[in-house]
Amino acid sequence: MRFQIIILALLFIGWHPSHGQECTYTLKGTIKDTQSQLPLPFASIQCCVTGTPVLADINGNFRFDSLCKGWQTLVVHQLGYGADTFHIELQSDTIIQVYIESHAQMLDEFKVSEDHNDHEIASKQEIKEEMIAQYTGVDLGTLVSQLSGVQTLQTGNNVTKPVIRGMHSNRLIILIGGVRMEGQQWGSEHAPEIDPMNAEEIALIKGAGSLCYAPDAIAGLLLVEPATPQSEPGLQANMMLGGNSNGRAGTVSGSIAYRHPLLKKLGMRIQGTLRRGGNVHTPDHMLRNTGMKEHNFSASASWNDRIFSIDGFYSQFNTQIGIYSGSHTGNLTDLSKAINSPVPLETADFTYAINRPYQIAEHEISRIRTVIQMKKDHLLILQYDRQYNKRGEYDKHIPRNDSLAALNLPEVQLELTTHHASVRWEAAFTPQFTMESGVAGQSIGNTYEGKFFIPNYRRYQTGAFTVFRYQTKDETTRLEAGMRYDFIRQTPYMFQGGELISPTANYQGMAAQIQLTHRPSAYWSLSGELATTWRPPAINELFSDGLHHSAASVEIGNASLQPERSFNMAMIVGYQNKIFTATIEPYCNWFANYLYLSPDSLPTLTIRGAFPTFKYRETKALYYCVDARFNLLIAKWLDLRADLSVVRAFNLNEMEHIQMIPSDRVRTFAQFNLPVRWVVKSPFVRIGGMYVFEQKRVRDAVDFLPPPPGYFLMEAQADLGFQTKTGVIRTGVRVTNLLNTRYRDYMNRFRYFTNEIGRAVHLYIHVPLNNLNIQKSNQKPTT
Amino acid sequence: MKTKHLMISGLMIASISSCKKDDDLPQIPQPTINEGEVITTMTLTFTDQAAVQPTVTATFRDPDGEGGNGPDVFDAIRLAPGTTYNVSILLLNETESPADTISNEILEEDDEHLFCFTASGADVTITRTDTDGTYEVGLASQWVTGMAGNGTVTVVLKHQPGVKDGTCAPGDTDIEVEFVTEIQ
Repeated sequence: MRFQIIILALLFIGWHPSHGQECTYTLKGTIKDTQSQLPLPFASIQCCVTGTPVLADINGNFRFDSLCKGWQTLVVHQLGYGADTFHIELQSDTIIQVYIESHAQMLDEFKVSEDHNDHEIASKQEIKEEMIAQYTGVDLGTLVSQLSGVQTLQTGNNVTKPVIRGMHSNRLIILIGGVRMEGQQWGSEHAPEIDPMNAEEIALIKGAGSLCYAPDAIAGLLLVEPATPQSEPGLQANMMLGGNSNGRAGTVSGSIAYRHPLLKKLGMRIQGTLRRGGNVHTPDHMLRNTGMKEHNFSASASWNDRIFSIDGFYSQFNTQIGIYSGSHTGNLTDLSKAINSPVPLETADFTYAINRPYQIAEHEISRIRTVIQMKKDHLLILQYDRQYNKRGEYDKHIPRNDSLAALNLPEVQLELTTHHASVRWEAAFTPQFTMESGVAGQSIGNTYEGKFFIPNYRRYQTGAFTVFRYQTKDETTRLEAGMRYDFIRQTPYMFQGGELISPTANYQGMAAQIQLTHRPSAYWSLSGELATTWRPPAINELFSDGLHHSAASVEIGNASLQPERSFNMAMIVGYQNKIFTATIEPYCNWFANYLYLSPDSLPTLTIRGAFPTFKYRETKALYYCVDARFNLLIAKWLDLRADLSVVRAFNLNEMEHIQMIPSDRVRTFAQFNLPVRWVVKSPFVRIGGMYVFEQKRVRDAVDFLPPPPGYFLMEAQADLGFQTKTGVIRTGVRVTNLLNTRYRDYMNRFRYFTNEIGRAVHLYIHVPLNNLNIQKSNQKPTT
Repeated sequence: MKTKHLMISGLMIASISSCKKDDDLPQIPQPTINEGEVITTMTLTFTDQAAVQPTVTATFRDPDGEGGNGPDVFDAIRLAPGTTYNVSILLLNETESPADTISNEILEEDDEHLFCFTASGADVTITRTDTDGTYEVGLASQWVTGMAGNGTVTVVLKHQPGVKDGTCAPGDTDIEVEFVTEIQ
């Protein structure tokens, strides 16, 4: 739930039209808790973007002098209440009351350690609205890979899946608006069906946290928080435009949010995004059939009261993605021809048209949630959500029969429907000791049309969980422990020898986690975590059977697979002073039972020829990795950052490395914060580079082609803002692959066929339209 | 108060209504017959032009199409040396009952298909004898065997919609079967 800030009346002493900047105004006031009405001593408040946070005094009072007339941004921050931003139009000397409300005075479940200025020393990393706007038109996987420790698994330029700690797909959970994404996420070519433009924050929680949502977030949890209506009454709108020179792609995204001035508790928001792109090009060639188009829509409405809140959320995601036509090969001979060709076999002129082969994906989410305050510091949260996911694969091969071809049916179509309900109880027994417990149930139904790859199935899951958090009074130490037990029942429906069979499998297991965080001083922070997680075998691991066209291989499931169980240990060591921040996160995960696709010695012979065959097997495995990030503020105008990640994964039974693990990489950038001139706000120029090492830990016999060599990429960005009556417009340009480097990435399946795309110039502009005037409230008196 | 609640409930209901639905039920899967495009069986029939040698056939059959099981019939081609055979190719989809004759469809769309034959080790010369009007097709061909010996012949069917140029280079491969060939 959002933390609300209720801004109180100010004194307007007339309104003086003015030209140019007058910077002699004072803003002062008090920060208080809504429920108790008591002032919050030493709450942190930051004014005006470039200001540093100051602490309110013991009476919650603060004061800012020499402020300029016009729009100012205030950020209020308090442990236990979270942080929030609001905008105020300063016309004259102003006194305000700031009321912060927290539904139960407890810590956000996902923040390990909060409140350390701007630098997070936590297992949580975030991408905020400002950065999302800078990446307008970029898909979720690519956006999230900007965080340290996140790599990608790609199938061409349009399909990108996030990879965290070397793991992805079934081992990574994505939550949007509190709903766990359920689709065909087992597929390496199935990118998450999420529109990042709808989010106001995307957070990455590494490790097996989040037992409140699932037992199987082995790699971590990606939290996408859709924006919610603002707390101030009135209409607010946002418009984001983005363009990409490579592919001549354009994106338009806009939202309108409304809070009724009289019915202040009711807020509504609608949002939509349109994306369209044509064929992309490598430094030398334009690739045939690599366009895409997408249209997304979401709506939310909420009624927020102290005792009772209810909110509804609806979103739709629809995309059509062109698959490079040279990647669909009839058989190994064709594949071999494609691999050995020095130039891509299928090039074309530029066009926006998308022909076969292409994939379509649709995802619809409906969610309703209520929060009831049972008594002070006890909340009951009820949630019901429904999801529908559809995926269609339209192969290059059209049916031979002309009338059948005219129907334009997909070769494979999968539809997945999920219903989920949960009841959660959040309580703060004391301000230091909080608890979250609940039960959840889910039912999934999957159907397919066309060729068989995975069967129809039904899956039921129920789980109960409880998480305790304790924090010492001086907030230096925090302990979090949780446990969850789940029952899962999965029944496929399929034909075997002409007969319909439905072999039900039941699974149950416990997941547990304990994490201790300690801040011995203002500079150091340490965190250690132990967890055990499990996941049942996924339907494709059990029952897939068929030729994977784009992989030119046959994948066969194994119905006797047992659930995957892993034990992990993670640490975070953080250091921070005024100019330097460092975070180092070693992690290791031992799988007592790891499910994976293993090459079979015998190929499958079909009428098209022989295809390498892969079967799902179990083994013991060990993953370990280190992510590190550093930040050095050399001067107020120069900020240096670096991050690196190293992942290793072993198949312990076979004593060999696991395939398709990202190689080591190092990334750095320098950001120059330029001085402010006239109406331009906080301009900056950023230049950076990334070096990706060659993945040497592979077995040649298993792959069609040896891994590509290491490569170096450069990127540059320039960004600035304009203050207007309705907010700060931010616009900029970002150039990726600045040097137009020719390279291939091991984690991109299309490395067999083409180089990665060449230089791309991204333009973006974000126009906020906040028609806010602070109104005199009839609720609380001013002082 | 009432209007407020109505408005809220309206919004809530609107927010949980859904526009997309799955029309099928998981417990009722579609039959395993797929789109009717699968070629499960290829049979080559060799007829001696001189009517001396017996007519022989060679069949490749993979009943589950692209599924994980291999072929259940995979003959070798056994021909007599020094003979000219007229060869015809029959393609079937035996996942349907009665079996669908795919070679008839190939005949109808002969301007999009081409059979390619490559002999390796076996002394046999193969020429296509049919035509689509412009280019050869290969459903009918002539095989001339030379001396006795063993080798292989690879039979490839290429699907070349719009790109047929008489050669085996363009298009996608629909069939690629390497028959053991014995001339004795």
